This record gives sequence, C-alpha cells and structure tokens, in this order.
Amino acid sequence: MKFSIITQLNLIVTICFVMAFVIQPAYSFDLNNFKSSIDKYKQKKKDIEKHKKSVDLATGNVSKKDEINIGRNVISGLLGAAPLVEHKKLQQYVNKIGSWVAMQSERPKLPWSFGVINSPNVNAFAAPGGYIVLTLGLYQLLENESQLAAILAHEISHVIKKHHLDAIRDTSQTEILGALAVKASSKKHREKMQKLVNSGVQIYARGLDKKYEYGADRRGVVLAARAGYDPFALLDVLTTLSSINSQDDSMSVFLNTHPPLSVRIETLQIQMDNHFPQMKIPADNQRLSVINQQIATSR
Amino acid sequence: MDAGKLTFILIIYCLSISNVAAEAATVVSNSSLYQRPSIQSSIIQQIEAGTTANIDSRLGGWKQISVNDISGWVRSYQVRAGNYSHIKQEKKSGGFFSGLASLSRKASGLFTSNNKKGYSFQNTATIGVRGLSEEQIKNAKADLNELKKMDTFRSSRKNTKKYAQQGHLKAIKVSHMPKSGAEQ
Repeated sequence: MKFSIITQLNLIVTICFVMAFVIQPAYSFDLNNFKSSIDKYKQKKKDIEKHKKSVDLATGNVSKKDEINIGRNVISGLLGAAPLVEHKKLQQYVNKIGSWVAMQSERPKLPWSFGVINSPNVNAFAAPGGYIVLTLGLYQLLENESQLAAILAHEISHVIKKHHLDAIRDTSQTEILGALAVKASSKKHREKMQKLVNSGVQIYARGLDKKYEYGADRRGVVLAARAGYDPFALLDVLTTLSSINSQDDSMSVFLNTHPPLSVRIETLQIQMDNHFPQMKIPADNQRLSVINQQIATSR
Repeated sequence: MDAGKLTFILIIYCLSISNVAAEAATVVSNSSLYQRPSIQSSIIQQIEAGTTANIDSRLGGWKQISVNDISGWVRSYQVRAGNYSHIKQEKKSGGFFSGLASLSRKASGLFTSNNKKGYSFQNTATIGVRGLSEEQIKNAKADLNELKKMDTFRSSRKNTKKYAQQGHLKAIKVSHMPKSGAEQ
C-alpha cells in the first residue's frame, strides 16, 4: 500500500499525538514540544503545497490570478529598461485601440493594459495577463490606426496563447514562473523579486520560438479584421521594417528574436489570399495622424 | 460644441479631403505587375522599388495601379500612398525601398531624433531613455512606479466601445486561419 507524503506526515503527527498521551505517565507531557511538532508539520505541508504548485505550473495550469501577477512582474522589468513616454493622450489612445482589439479576442476580460515606452529601438513586447508595450521607435513608423491595431493584435495573440508562459516553462524555469506569480508588494520583497524579474525578462532578449511568431501573425490579422481594421496593415508595417537597414542598431534585438521579415510577409500573404480574397478594405479613420498632430502641438 | 471638438472634426475633414485627392503612390518593394488580382494571372512586367504610380482601386490584398499608362495589380503591401519621388534615388536594400522607414518617422511629425542617443517629443529634451538592447533588457531593474502609472491609462469597456464607435469601427465575425507550414 502506498501513502502520499502528506498522508504519511498525518500518520506521524497522529502517532506523536497519541504517544504523547500514552507516554505521559512516564514522562511529563511537554506542551511546547508538541506545539513545535505541529508547527514543523504545518511548515512541511506548506512546502509540499508549494512544490505541488510548481508541478501544476509544469503541466500548464497557471491560474488567471497567477498569470496576471507574472505579467505585472515581468512588464515592470521591461519598464525598468525603458519607461513610458510621458504623454497621457498618447498612452490613452494606445490603450483604447488595444482594448478594442482585445475585446474581439478569446480572452476579452483580462485586465488589458498597453503602453508606449521611450526607446528608439523598434520592438513590441507582450507579457502574460494582458500587459503590452511597444517602443516609440516602432510607434513613429506607423502610418495609420490599422497599423497600430495590427501590432497590438499580434502582441495580444501572444498573450491569448500564453506563449511567454510556455517559453519560461520550456527553459526549465518553472520555479521562476512559480515565484513570479507572487505579487510584489513590500520593498524587501521587491529586492528578492528583482532577480526573478531578470530571469523572466531574459525571454525578451532571447525571443520566442519562431512558430509562435508566425502564429501571432496569423491570429493577429484576424483579430484586427474582427475589430473593423484593415487586416493587411500588418503587411504594410512589416514592409516598412524591411526597408530599414538590417545593420541598424535599433533593429538588432527585433531581428534576432523574430523570423525573417520577407518570410513572414510571404507566409502571411498566402494565408490571407485564401481568407480575405474579396474583402472590402475599410477606409482609415485618420485618427492616428490627428492624435499625433494634437500631441505635437500641445507641447 | 466646444472649440476642441470643432478643431478635431475640421482636422479629420481636411485629412479626408487630402486623402481622396492623393492618388499618387510609390512602389516600395520590387514587384510583379499582374493582369488580375491573382498570382495565377499573367505578369505584365516587373516594377522596381521606388517607382511612382497611381492607386486606382483596391481588392482584398491587392491594389490596382497605373505605371506609365500601364495598368495592373500588385500586392497591397508593395505600394504605398504618397509620392516619394524626391528621394527615389536613395539606395535600396534587399528589394525594399530604403527611404520608407525614415519617411514614416518624419510623417509622424511627433518625435525628433536626438543625435542617435534617443528620441524625444519635438521641442523638448530627451526623456530618460534607458534603451532596450539585449544587455539592457537582461539587466533591467523592475520599475513598479511605471507599472502603477501604466495601470492608470487603462480603458474601461464602456469608453473603449464608445471610442470605437467614434472611429467608425464595427466588430465583425471572422474565423481564424489554418496554420501555415512554417508554424507546424
């Protein structure tokens, strides 16, 4: 007969308890010792539960709450590398567009949060739980709202499919994943968390498996179309990026962490030919240009 | 109606007018000009990145264009509205029009480059750019204050829907596409 560790511990404590009374006539019952045994048992049980949680993470069961906490910790690391651009109107605009696209996704009720971060590099990042940022270097390459929606939809797709959780797990960092699921609150806790955040953020320097990028392209254009945008706008953005010299410093991390742009364009074009053959392309609502003009003149 | 709203509507109106009038376009990657919007149709000619054209119509992922009185279809992403002939002679990289990204940056009219050290809003000093190189990402320190700030910009479902409506966006049903070979 096999007993789990908890069952065995339960048995030991029960025996201890009974023995304490049985042996009492010979040895006086020490309440402090007994209390200490109970405490040790509780601690052991806690450790086992913690271990069990890591195992759950390994099988892919991350609760929504844990996923959000992981995302918050990871995105705080990226914000540490580059802060938000200090313009409320720009940030609110990106949040409205991103949230609208996310509402068309399979997980509309995540606490979706978007931001433009102050970096000349060209890139965008998604963290678990619905946290998405794009760099100013990328934002200023965008020509219309459909292109902005296309970038956000690609990142939203990474979140929907939990690609970053998979990536952390694939690198045997389940312990890190479990630890990152804890809400960073106190200053003392934050210091401990720093090391973990660094480990979680590594994934953004290393990049995801290329199949995840193709998957996010494929799903992203559909989300953009569902939201009423021109789904072909992603191809326009990728073409713009293709025109940048590959030796340009601003593109180095992006190019190292994504499949070749020409392959992405070709792959997506073939898929979209079959899916949107006769689509009437919606006209651009001109809002991105207006917002940019308003921001430029307001300062 | 307040002055702000009126300005917003006027800007939209002006931009719409200029958009209708501006049919001039630039071919932004080396392209094949097809007889019909299909890769099964015959190729009329090859067009080099940087060639100016006119966009006549659009269907799915295709644009109908005219180049030197010859009409045909190219992939939508291969031609971009706007006449960029003034920088036509710039070097082209990998079949793509190299001036495109710099033009998009300029067109945003929003930010200026600051001697490659970073970007800033026009007329302001550079805002603490810390960068996102591979090394900087790896050594980033968590910034919980920025995270809290990010939380404040979140859009409620009600505001999001309202804003979508204002932008003439209508949600439609679209199924997901099957996986490509590259994704398997």
